[in-house]
Amino acid sequence: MPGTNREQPGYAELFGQVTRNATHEIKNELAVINEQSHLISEMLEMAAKGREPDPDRLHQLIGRVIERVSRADQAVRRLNAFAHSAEETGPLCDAVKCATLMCAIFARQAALHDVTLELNTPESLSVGLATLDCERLVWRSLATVVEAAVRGSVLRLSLESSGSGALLRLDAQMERAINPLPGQLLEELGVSRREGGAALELELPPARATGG
Amino acid sequence: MQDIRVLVVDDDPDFLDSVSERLSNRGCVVDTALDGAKALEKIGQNLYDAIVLDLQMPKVDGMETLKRALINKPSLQIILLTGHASVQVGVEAMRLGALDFMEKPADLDLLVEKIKEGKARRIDIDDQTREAAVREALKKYGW
Repeated sequence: MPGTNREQPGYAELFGQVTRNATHEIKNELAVINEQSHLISEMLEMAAKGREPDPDRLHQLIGRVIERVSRADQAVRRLNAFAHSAEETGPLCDAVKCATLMCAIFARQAALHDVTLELNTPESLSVGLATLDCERLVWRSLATVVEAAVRGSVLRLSLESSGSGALLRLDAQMERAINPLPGQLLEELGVSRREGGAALELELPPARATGG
Repeated sequence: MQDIRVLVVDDDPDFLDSVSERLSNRGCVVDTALDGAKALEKIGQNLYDAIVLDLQMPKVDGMETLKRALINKPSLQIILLTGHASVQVGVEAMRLGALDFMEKPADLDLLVEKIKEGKARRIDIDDQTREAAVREALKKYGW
């Protein structure tokens, strides 16, 4: 595997974008929790002044608070899992795990473009990339394809064994041609792009060829 | 007290639901929209004293909604409410004609104060527009 320098701007960019997405999601959840809990508090204040509270409404609101706390917790867990990626410095990783995590963190950004993400992957697929590099590649690919996709479309990300490596495929109904991924990034990671189709298809290096 | 008519625009139904009820409890007549396109439709059909607008939304985002809404109704009073405030975005929103820019979670009593301020400004602008139209008509016909 080509050597990677974690101090390169590409890593800082990835950390910045992932952190921004995850914290936006957490902040949104907190904003909803804040509104709902204030509403419950106001309903109880009114009850203290003699206005009969609606138990069904209270039950519904409390249920929603519990649900949004759980969603915020999941967002924190995803951010934490990403933060630990930097500790996995080995030359191999599970591409499915990386893709699943990146899609989950990227989902809100995709939704703002009115694009829905769908994953079609095996249970696991080992590739010859460090975890953080695989995540960087998936993130960059998602951002590039979402920019070119038609609003309201579904972006399908699939992973499958291909020859001795793996094929990462991102396909959606396109509004325009997908911008090329930076050649330097692909070269650095030993990844090649299949040309010709409308989808973005990347051949990832095999796990066995990367042990050094 | 005269009704204060507010349109709250946010892509999160739970947020919309809770804020609407809290504003209603404070005497506002609240209408809602889940995206910018629906908001623009409602703005075209109704008269609102203020619009409380989320910045990040799918389809037509808050900033684009703000621009399009003010083209058609320049006296609209729009308060941008967002979870992702930055000075740059706030300055841009004010430059485009927003009444104010508030970060979520917002103090609802402060938001209501802003909405009331919006209503007063809207009435003032509408009065000035009407007076200008009357003056123009008087001048045109030499009365």
